[in-house]
Amino acid sequence: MIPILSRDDLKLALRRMLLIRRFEEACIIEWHKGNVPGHYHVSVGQEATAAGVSAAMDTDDILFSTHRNHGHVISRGADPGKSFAEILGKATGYGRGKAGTLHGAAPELNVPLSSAIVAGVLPIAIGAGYAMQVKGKSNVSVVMFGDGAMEEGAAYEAINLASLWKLPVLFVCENNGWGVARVPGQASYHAPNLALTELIDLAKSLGMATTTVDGVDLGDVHRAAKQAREQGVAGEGATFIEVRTKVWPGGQWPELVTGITDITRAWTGEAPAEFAHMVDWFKHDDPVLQVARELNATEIFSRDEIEALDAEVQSQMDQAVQFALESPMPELETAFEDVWPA
Amino acid sequence: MKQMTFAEGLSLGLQESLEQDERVVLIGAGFGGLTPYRSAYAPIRGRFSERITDPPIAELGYCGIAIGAAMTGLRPIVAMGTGAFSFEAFPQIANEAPQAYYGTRGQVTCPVVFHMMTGIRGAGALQHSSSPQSMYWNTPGLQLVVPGSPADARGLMKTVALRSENPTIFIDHQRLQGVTGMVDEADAGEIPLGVAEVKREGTDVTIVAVSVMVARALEAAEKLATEGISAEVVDPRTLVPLDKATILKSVAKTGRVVVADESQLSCGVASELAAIIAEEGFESLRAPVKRVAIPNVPIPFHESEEKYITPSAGWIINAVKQICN
Repeated sequence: MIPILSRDDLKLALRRMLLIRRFEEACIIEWHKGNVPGHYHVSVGQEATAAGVSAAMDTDDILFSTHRNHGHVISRGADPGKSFAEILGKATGYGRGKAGTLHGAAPELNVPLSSAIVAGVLPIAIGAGYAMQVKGKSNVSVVMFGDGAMEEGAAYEAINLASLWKLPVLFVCENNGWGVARVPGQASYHAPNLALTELIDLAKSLGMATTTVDGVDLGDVHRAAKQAREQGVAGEGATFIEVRTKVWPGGQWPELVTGITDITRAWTGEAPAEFAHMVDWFKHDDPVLQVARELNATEIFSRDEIEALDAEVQSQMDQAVQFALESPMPELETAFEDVWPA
Repeated sequence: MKQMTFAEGLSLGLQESLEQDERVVLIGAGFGGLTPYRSAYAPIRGRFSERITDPPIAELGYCGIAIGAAMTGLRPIVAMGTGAFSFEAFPQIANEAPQAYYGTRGQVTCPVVFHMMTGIRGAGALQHSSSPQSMYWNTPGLQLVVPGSPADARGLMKTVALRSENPTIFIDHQRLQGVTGMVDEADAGEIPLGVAEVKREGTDVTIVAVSVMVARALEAAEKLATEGISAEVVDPRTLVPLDKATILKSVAKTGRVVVADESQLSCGVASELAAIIAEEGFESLRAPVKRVAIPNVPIPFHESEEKYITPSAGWIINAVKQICN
């Protein structure tokens, strides 16, 4: 489904999806070259969530994320060079190399914090909603997290409090069916470590509005987020949105198992010969290809326009990677800076 | 100037903070705990009920709310109740609030105060008697405020609630509530962080005392004076930031030091202060640094056992005598 947005906003949403994809591909490529320190989490296959939710947000709305935050931060318009530099631990990164991949943020774009504790950011995000309520602001606090967050007690406390106090909060749970340790071959949206049959049941039982949407469907995500935002701003409380994202076969230690995305696969829907066993990904599971396909099929954008946009984004990302790679490491003394306000 | 209890001083500081900045909000308001002095805090609810949000029993959740609200423009004070309850919120207090500023080039501040009633209180037993100050001192990014007098309670609360941009642990010992002292209501009374106070001057030995141990140290100094030992009592008032200069200056004068804090000995507040003095004031020392702290055991329920492991004025006197003869 195509979101109900202006042509410009649709282009922006597609652009952000493409940028997230190219960003994550660059992460994997640079990791394999030994340039990315530590463990990291990509959001390949979850681009429509970030772009769809962001398209429904106002500039003054606040977004919080978790360990899998690259896409969310990019979707708010973050500079991919500064974001990538942070992942490489460089001085030019959003956090001067102190935050790394796990704590992606862009405070000037109202993305103040990502917590690497899977449900750690939920109580903080509802705190931002609480502050909006206290100050009488017409904004919402959006928190993006994975199904694994539902395994931690903080999720229960946050959902209960947000429901009890009718806080303007959007709980956006990206259910990639992984939990923390997905059993290979047992893909399921019922996270293996949760007794819940449906993820929304907890929020529902606590009196919160809930909805489940298709994570490949940009329009579905956008519609749900827009409706939840309107409800929040109207003082009618929080919404729990479960976004069922397709499981990208690339795994937790990401490998480019589906190759570098070739946007022209959107037109053919065919898997390249070496990826023939993953035909579903190319045919309908990859949200980037799917959204490009839909935007073309409905004649909103021509193939040439989309291919040109992709080339432009790829070039932007190449420059971002170059910037990050060439950026200096932080001076050692900066470890003693920013502990406190001066 | 007016004589007040610690509870009245803290209550005054809280009311003045609420008065002076509408961004100050209270998450819970159970100050004073179950002590008879809790009535001193009644005016807070009487005057500012619309600024108080009473949360469910969800320490993790409501501390997170306070952190998120602090990051986005409010200045919340969380009344956690018993200090041990902060362990239920440890992931938020120790693993979310203190690092936000560090990880964002100083763009995200978190002006939140976690007020907790700590310490051995009389039949608090295993889970209502904790003294978590040393755990929080081991968490960079948290301010640690440990007032021991009514004026300090009032002034430090105002400073952290109104002026500071950092997450703060406000240690309020259960048995401080009835401690009295003079408070100058006409003066704003804000106390800068990181400024210790010499509570009693002396020449033979320095007693560095924290929180509830300040009153016990003053009692000990009084008794020691009758035996011809002149003790100086130094109250750091805040542990983070710490006024090392005032402590070391006193040690330079007396050459002997006892450090007293009511938290467990291992890696405790007394231990850290003793280590700093040994490292940076070694030339001044004429005797080993002595620590007065809770032995490394949980807090027992029974009154006599509880008393047996509680650092007292008598313990301080014993420690002083060990190094002054």
